[in-house]
Amino acid sequence: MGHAYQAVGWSRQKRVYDLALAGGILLCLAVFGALMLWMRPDATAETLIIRSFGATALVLLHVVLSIGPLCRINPRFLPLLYNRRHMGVAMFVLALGHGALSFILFHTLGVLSPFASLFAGDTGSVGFAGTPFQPLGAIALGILFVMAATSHDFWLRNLTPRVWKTLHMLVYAAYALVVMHVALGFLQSDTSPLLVVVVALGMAWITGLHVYAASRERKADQTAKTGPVTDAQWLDAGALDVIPDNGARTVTVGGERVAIFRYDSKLSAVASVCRHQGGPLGEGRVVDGCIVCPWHGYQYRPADGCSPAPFTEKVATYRVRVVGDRVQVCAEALPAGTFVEPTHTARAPVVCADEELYVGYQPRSAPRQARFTLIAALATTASALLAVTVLASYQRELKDSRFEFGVEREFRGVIEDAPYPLLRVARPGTVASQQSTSAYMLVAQGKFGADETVKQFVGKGVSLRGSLVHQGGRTMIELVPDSLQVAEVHVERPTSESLGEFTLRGEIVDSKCHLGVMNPGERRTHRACAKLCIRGKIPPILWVEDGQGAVRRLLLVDTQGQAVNERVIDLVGDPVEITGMVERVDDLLILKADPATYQRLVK
Amino acid sequence: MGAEVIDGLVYALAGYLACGLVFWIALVGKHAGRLDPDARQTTLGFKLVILPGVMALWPVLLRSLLGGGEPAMAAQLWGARWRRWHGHTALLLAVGLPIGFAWAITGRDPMPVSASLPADPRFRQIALPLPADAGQALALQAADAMWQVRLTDDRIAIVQTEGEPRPDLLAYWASQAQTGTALEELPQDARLLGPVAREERTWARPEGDGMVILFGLAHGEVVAQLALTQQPGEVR
Repeated sequence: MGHAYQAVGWSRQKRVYDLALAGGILLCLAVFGALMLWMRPDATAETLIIRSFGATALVLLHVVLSIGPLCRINPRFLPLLYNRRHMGVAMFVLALGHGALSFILFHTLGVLSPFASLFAGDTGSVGFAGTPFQPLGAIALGILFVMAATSHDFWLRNLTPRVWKTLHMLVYAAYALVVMHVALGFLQSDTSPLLVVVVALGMAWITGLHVYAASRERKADQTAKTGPVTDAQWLDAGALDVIPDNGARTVTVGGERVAIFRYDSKLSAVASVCRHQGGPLGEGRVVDGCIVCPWHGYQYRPADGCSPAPFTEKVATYRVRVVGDRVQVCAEALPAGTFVEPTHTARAPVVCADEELYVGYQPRSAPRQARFTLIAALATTASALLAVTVLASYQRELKDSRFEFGVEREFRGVIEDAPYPLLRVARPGTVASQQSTSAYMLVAQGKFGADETVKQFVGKGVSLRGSLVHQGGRTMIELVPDSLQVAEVHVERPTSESLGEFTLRGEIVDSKCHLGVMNPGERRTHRACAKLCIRGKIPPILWVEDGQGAVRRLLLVDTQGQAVNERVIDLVGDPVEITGMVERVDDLLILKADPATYQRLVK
Repeated sequence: MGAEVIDGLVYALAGYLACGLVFWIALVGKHAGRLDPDARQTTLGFKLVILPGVMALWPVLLRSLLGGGEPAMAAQLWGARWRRWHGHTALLLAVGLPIGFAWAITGRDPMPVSASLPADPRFRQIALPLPADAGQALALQAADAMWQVRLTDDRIAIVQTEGEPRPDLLAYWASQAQTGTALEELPQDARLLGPVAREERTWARPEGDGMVILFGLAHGEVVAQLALTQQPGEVR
């Protein structure tokens, strides 16, 4: 570089690129959101945002990672590379939206600090498939942050291209972490084979493409190997006639690529690695007397490898000579910017370099290139839309739950606290004695139970304010702080009825999220949050199904009828089998069993 | 790793980033030109764009400022090494990632199923369910939901068919069948049939004329009402 930095060095093609990128992203978000609203209307708004941002970021990461090898395979993809850093930053912003909202929802307002909950809260998992997936996503996000934060030429220059490229190689680690984040999280909860197929196809595409491009490069380097001639200093670089006019032939000298350019009946050789991002100078052209890098249009003079003023980049140069119809290159690289007198050749060039070299800062690309770029962009958008459509459509069914967030109502009843706080409310009218009351579980705001709040009101009639959480006939109230007041209320106390011993298989979930504060509020994607909630004394319940559509939710207590929160943390979110006595108290089911006898059902 | 260790690391990271912020202020305020001549006179946009990176990588820039760093434009032939590394990474990814992915997918736990469940505690004293085509089906509608009421001579069945779920929704029978006016409160003589759900529930039909009232206890409101006569299906 050689002029003052700007936030973004805009050109027409960058504007077009960014507009197309923004349009594609908005389209993916809109399609994903619309499909979820249509097919999973019970999902909470937070779930919709988290999933749409996550899916779009995942798809965009695949696009970002595809561009490099595609350009190595076919240079006509170069326009997609030109402003790839904006695509990378956009992908990071989407991933940040996904990660930040998940972090706030799942890890804040609990008994652990948010970061402790994220990295150390999901304890007790068993087996590889049980590995906590959220820390993997967080580490990937950290890597993507560093990459996005250094996506400016200031960093290329001040970190040096070698360090910058090495740093940005971490994208592969981030990609692996992201894939495992999805496989150990979302794909554990949402088990449609099509979801597995779409993620596996993406993975196969990225890894296959990179391996193929790398093997092509290796083969090309083998073919371009220079051979020794009589003088050990000089190496045979092939026939003169194969070097195109205003173009180059790339050969390898001791493993390093050297580009031998032919222009104005002269030959010059420079290192084929651009100082900007390591672009292949040998695939560029000589335009207006300067070598132009095909990646971002950086220019170098062939004779001394220096960028024209005011720019200051330099590449190493090599001595070159013509012996008969063969070109020879000196094995010793000269320091960057060293002038080497070009070798003159009287032979007329046989081939010419491709006239349609794409240069991003020019206002327009050549018509054939523009058509190719348009088709590539449309194909990319169509593939991305197909992927987000599958990701949105094949999620599992969500339950019909509600959290009346922000709607406060007044309730009157009697407070009970054994084993967990609840408000017993009298049913009006003429009622049979055994169904004369409804029981509303009570929780505090955030990820906390209401034990402390109701302690001084136990057994008393009260009026209180709160927001309702409900699902499948179970009702809960999230208390408004300091809203409890003693009131004249009489409620008949129900008797408990033993239903006998049951062996039940299901999942331990936190009642607050499961009943509707979050949706989904169970299975692997919610496990860390459920553990934080149960640590905060939110009543744990066993969610069981019979496979025919019947669902039961049983409050978990030990054999003495005491709360079991701390003793079940490590089993939350995993399949368990519990054998114990089931009691019916009013319209609540209570499962009494020693937590030490709970069995984890893991493959 | 314990929560205390994580918290300690987070505080350390916050301190590190705070140092980065201070470094950024010093850098864009005075020293940017020393580090990089092209950063001498720049726009506010550029200064903000490099802020996150400076906060994250300020020791590298500090090292360059102090002259200990690698010369920024040093000629280096690093292409071959980098390509080799890149190729190895691609190979590692192509082999390792599918193994990890397959391991994660094949290790998935199926959703556990219980063969026998305790009875639903909400529903007691219910009558035998009505056969699928028995009785006359009537629609009971609220602004945002719909229920189906099926009547025979001796039974009444209710199920929510559409719309928003309601917390603690109870079905009542009131013997005074009112028509034309919407009830604001539950009548004194209303008799509880039982909770209403998305699964059909059946109760013995009280004798005589009357009306079915759906009352949301948690919301404290009459949700819907339907007046009936003794003749099944006759609705006023």
